[in-house]
Amino acid sequence: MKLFFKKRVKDGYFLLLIVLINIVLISIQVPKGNGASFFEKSIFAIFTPVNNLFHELISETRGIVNEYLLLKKIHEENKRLREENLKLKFRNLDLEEKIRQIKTEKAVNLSGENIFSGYVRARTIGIDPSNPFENIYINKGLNDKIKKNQCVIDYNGNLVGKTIEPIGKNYSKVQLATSKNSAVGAKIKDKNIIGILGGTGSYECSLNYIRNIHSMGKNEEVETSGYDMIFPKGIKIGRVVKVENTNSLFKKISVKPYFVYEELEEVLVIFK
Amino acid sequence: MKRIIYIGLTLLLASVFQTSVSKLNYNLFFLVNFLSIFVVHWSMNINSILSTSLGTIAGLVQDSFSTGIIGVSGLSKGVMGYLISKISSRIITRNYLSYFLIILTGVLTELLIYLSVLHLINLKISVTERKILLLQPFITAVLGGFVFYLIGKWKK
Repeated sequence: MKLFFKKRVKDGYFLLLIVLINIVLISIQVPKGNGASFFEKSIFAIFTPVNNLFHELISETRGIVNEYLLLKKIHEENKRLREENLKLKFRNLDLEEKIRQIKTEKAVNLSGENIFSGYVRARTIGIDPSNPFENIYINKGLNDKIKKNQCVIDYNGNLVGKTIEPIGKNYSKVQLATSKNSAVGAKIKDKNIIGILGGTGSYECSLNYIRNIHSMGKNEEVETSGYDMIFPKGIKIGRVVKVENTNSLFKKISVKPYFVYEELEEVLVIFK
Repeated sequence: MKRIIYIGLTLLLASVFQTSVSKLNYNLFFLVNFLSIFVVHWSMNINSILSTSLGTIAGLVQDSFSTGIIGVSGLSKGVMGYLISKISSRIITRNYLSYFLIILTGVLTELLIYLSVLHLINLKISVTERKILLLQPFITAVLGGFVFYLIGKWKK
């Protein structure tokens, strides 16, 4: 059997040799002209499929290798980007924290004329359900040296209110400037017009005890006077939105506080 | 040696017949192929390498007295010799029909290769010649079968 195959292969080679010799012979005699000779055509016809196959094989292999390399590169790129993304997230958190710190410092500087000995940052943990403009609860208390009647401001340095009883170890109650029970010594900024700011239990407050003789109008800025011995002088309160002269001695003035009730997520409790 | 002489003599005889018929009638040259009969006969009795060589030689002889390109018949007859040698080693050829079929297969293959090569080298043959050529396998197989049959009888 082995011999048979060996012989068969030998026969095949011989036939191929004879065919090639004849092709060469024919090719020599066929006039070339502009086209390829018969020999060239024959060689082309014989080797082109093999060449094509080889070329396809190489091309496919190259494609697979390239695709693999590309995928590997994409995988590495993806890994790198994920790491970078994580780093940026941390960086973002860090920057957010820094912004918060800057805002805090700015708020303290804006509101205090350097009469504070310090402050505590507190988070709002609850509101008075009976009247949202009355009181809020914060997550800092006696453990953070918070006492009754300490001034509370927001991050923009605007007056929010003051701490009142009860004060727990880790929580405190804050009476808002809009509370009906609130009274804040106030004055018109840059004028010697002093009054008492009282809450109305709504978005607006009233500036009381301003005599009719004083000339003032809308959009005047109101700030703390410091005479109540609770709130430091110069803390921004709000802006006058309505001024009415009455038959009595005093004007009827409405003030819109600067602090935004809905944005009181965090506040600063100031130590004198 | 004796066999070589026989081969030589039969080749000579086939060549003489082939050239003679063309002198009788030009178209007869295309109608019957004595050299193909010669190749088929010897291919049935010798191995494939010798058959291929013999086919090529016979083809070159045919090319030499034809006006065509030398090598075309050499190629076609060489392949035919190889094919017939391979086929005959697998089947038993004893009667006229088997001779007829084997010659028909061989000459058809030869003609197919011959015409393909002519087409490839853009060598045109006339329509009449082509029509006659298409009859060649059948006529050659009929005549060759008869000759083989007579040889068989003579050998006995």
